[in-house]
Amino acid sequence: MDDQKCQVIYAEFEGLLKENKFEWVIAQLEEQIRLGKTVSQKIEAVKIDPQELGLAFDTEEPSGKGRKNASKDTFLKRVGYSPRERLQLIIGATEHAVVDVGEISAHLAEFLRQGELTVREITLVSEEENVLARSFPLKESSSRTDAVAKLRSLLSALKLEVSKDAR
Amino acid sequence: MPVEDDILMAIRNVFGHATIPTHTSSSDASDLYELYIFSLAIEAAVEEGASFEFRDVNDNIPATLCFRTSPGDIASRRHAYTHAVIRFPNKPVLECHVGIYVGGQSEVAHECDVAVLYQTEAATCRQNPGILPRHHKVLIATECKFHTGNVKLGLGRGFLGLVADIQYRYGERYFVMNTGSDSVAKLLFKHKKKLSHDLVPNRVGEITKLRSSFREVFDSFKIRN
Repeated sequence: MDDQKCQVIYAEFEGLLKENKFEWVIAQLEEQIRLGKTVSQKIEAVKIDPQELGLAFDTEEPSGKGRKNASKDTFLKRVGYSPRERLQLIIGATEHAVVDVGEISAHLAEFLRQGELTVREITLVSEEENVLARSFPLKESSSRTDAVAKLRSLLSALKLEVSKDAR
Repeated sequence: MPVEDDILMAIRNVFGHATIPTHTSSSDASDLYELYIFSLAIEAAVEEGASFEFRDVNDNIPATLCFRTSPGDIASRRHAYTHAVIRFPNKPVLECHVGIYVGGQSEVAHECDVAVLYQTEAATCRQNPGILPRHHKVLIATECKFHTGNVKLGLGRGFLGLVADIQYRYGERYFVMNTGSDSVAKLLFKHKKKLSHDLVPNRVGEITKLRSSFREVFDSFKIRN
């Protein structure tokens, strides 16, 4: 899968998330992509000749032999994500926002079904004034279970395809 | 047609059926995540031999469970918020709450996404609205973060401040997140803080670790009382 194909599939995911009111996922992702990632890189640090500063001693920490002979130090470097990595990120984000949430909802439904609990519904409501309570559809979680499992399996298969081409 | 296109088409077909159309926002996901950790804490207590029941602020058994979407006072009667009452045989009764304020050492109110505390402390606060539970009566306090990407380092730094102010030698404070943010993980590991990362239902190993840690707290509570 080349970079262009990765960008096409990324755009498809973006569309899918927007259509289903998951704009916040794209916003979080864009922020992560904007910040980039950090990688380690060995480079030669700039060194100043102590005599240039008029010092009688070296300002560098002593660190053994060969130090002054172009030894390299490890630095952190901020780099951007490649199109393939961006695609992997959006697939992962979709997995979190849809599949994980679906499985959490199934877990809660199961948790509330056990024992002698007679819970019929969960409502979520803020402490703020004039905010209406919103009911969470516990009963429907079982009907979503198959779709959630299918989606997890498809996303895993796609991740595999993307990583396969990277090798 | 390339394999990835077939997969993409199948994803398109199933996507809408896998979502919860009424709960697609970021805050919905975070609210559900807190309830998930709430359920894990209760399950850990049950595995340690406890029984539990749900009660609301008026001590009624609720048919509908009501939870906060923003932090609040444990005594708040704005809505009949639900908590779990946890009973170990012949031990002081505990309560598990979602989204309550707890008083810290520095006399600052801190939000605890999920908190397990002594019932006597909770009852004292309910009888005296506005009074906050004291941090040394809170056995378990968790900060829950549900993100789709990296959890920002600032949240980890904030947690270090929280822990310093609400520490309790017989309890634990947890930072629980659904992803595996390297920077937060490194920071909290360095400071020897309790961290659960990648904690979602299909990561059985991570769930087992957190549940075991919760169980240790309950076990130590039983030994001490």
